[in-house]
Amino acid sequence: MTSQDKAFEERLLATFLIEAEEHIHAISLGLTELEKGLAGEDLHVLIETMFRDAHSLKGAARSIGQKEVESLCHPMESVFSALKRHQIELQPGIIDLLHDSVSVLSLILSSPHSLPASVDRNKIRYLINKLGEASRGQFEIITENKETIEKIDPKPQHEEVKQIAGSIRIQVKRLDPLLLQAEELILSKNAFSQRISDFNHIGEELQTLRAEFPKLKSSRAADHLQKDVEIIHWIDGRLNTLEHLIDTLKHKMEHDHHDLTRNVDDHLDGMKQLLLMPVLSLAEGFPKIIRDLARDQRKEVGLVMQGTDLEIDRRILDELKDPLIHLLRNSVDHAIESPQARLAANKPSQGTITLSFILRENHQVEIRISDDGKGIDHDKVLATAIRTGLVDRERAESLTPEAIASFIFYSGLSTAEVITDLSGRGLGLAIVREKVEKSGGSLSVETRKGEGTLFRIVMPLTFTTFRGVLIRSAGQSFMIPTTNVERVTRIPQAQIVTVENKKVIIYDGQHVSAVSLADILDLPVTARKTTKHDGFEENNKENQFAIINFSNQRIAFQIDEVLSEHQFLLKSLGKQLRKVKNISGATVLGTGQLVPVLNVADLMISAIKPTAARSLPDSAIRAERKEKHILIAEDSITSRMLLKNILEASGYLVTTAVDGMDAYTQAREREFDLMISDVDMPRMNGFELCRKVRANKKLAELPIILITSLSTREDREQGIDAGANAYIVKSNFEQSNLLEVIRKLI
Amino acid sequence: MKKEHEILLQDRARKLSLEPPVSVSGKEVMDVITFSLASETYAIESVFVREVYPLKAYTSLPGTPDFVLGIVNVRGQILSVINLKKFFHLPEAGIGELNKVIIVRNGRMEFGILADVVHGTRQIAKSLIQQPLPTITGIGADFLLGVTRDSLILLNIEHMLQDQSIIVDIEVN
Repeated sequence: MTSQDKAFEERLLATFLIEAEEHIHAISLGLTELEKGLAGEDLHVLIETMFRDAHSLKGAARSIGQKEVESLCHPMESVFSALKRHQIELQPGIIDLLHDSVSVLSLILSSPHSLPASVDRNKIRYLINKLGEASRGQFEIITENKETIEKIDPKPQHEEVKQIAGSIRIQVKRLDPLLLQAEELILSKNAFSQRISDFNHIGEELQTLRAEFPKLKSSRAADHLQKDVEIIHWIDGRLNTLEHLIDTLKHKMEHDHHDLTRNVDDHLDGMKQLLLMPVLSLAEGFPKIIRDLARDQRKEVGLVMQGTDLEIDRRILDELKDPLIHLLRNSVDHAIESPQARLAANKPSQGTITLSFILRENHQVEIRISDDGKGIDHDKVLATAIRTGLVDRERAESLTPEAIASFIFYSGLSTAEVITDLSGRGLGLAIVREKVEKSGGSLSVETRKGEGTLFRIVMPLTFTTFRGVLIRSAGQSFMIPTTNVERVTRIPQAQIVTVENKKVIIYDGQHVSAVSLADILDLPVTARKTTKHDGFEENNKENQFAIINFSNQRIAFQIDEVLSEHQFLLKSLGKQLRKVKNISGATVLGTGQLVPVLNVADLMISAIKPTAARSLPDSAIRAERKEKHILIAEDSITSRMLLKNILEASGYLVTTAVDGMDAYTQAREREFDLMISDVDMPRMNGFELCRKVRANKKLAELPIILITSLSTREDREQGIDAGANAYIVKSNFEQSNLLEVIRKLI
Repeated sequence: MKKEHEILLQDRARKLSLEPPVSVSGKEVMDVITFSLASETYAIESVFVREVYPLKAYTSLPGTPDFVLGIVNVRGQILSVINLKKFFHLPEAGIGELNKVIIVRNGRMEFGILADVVHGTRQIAKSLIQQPLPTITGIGADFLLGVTRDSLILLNIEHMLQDQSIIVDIEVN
């Protein structure tokens, strides 16, 4: 097959996958609708639609050679066809079978080149058989959890599927540049406004001239110099005209600016509208998730969704998806009791999870996930919190129930072994909170033992509502999201103390660890003129700190100064910078300047981690950073220094030895990642050194590069025999060649 | 029904199989953009170049490898700028004015390349490209297409765009 054919096949497959996704999605939605218990014409239309989708998918799969998809679609189509002709009756078992088939189809399509490991061929065969039987009216429910299925309330969803009239499908990648352009127009708008003020300045200058002019006129007139008077008269006239022109132009510009502002703002607003999507697009898959999960756990759970027609920025929705699914799963897993336990507690056997989206002021949405399950056990949470040292016993007594419940978001606490009631999800809730907070939202929980739990998420509707504090550290500007900044404050030197070798400030009557932001970010020392070695200003000046609060942790970051507070739009750093530590993105200021936005979650980790390393000697820090350590054996000091410089410039840690003996001694005493050796050396030459190193148990694996002016084949072979990994001849020695060899070896 | 569908698919297949337009003598010559950086002249294939953008200001980012000069704002889009000399671990003797960014991209990757001067576009006959020893240019063979007789260094920008080592993906731990 030529590469052209191959490329074509790939494109064809991509097209097929998009199409298949649409069909599967439609069938899946239809099945969920079907469970609501439709009748008459509605039912007929729905089945007809699903029949068409199954049929089209079958055809498309056949044309591209997706045999499994085709073979599974075929009996599905038959079932829909039989239903359509009233040859068979609709029963929950059939819907389950179809749901299962749809799930398997999605799995197959997730890995279109080969059948994914998660799909069992027997399962496919089983489904095909069962579907076949069902279409012939031979369907028998033999599923063991039949009762559970039948008891699932067919009407838990009050939500109607809304069709968006006359919509078109646009690829996101085409939309994004438009939004960027729209945002860029703000800069043009600001520039225009600046030009108007420049223009006003000219007008003022002219007015000054006009004010001074009559004096000149009268003084000249007094001298009776006819010619001067004529010229002055002429200039006066021109000035009048000029003033008039400028005045008119100014008014026109102001008018234009007004129009431009309105247009730009409307345009940007419209662009933002384009990115708004109904919550339903996110939530439509939830009933199925809940349904499958409840079935697996033999629980009876109904999901009620409210406010799913509310529109939210697509990017926010993307961020919300995982946290919401996580919380919903948690509710089914851990909150809703088994039907027996529920009945015993005088509750209906079916548990209800309610997911509602409510519009709040300031362009925010409140999302409530509530259940009528058993609630969170405060005593258990508190006991664990005390055990893990999150809170001390005395303080624990004064805590409100809400404060105790919020401990479940703490990363050390929601691990499986710690709280059995919320097990199985690892650090789940901590991650949920982190994700929500990263997108500028907040999360809280209320719970009553035996009655249920309510999670409340408040999120901005669009990304534009981020607020940030613009600060300067080591001469560079950074933005910190305001949600995480508890306070920006000056702390007198007297209130900065050292506790156990760590800087601590006294704030709000408490000790808060303090670090220098410039240190955490590893900003270049050259930019830090005013700070001393450890990053703290030691003079009597008061020190500026930003106290940052994230997931119940508080750390004070020393900064140079606070510049201003802004509304900002978080932008990604581009495709090449997928993830940069401590930085979540960047934003464009009104002046066009780019400012990095700090990632508070990262900062907290960075602030805790490296403090220990920083007080250690230089070499220890280097080891901590996992720099590769290279030993050089070379008797010529010039060559030695040259090599050392080259290697250090490339980020290696270098130790030198003056001959083979010296090198061998050092190699045994310390850890090295690589050795570079000259061949011709006094006391012990390179070949001997190689042999000795290879003979030593601890050093046998150490990569060795021999560098030499000896370039005969015999020499080279002798070097390889001695156990060198590479042999570089000095006459064509070039650092890049050497560096490349080093990179290959370590 | 079935027929209708097949016609649709056939039509789709036909449209997809259309060749994108190729320059007249596509096989023999290569369209390149030439630029200089620190006393060296490089060339990259124009098909991968989105645009050349004047480097007015850039913002450096702490925590990135040294080959990342920083980020720039290109009409509202943020792009990272790469210093090839640093990426190839070349000595930076006499680095110049650094006043241009050449934005390169393929479907998945996009970044800017730092340049002192962008000379323009030209065509190079493929037959005149010599396979160089990596040691001559100091650039790994992977990133090199060859060298012309007038010592123009042809970079394999396609490979650079695909290379994982150029992606910065650093977790805080």
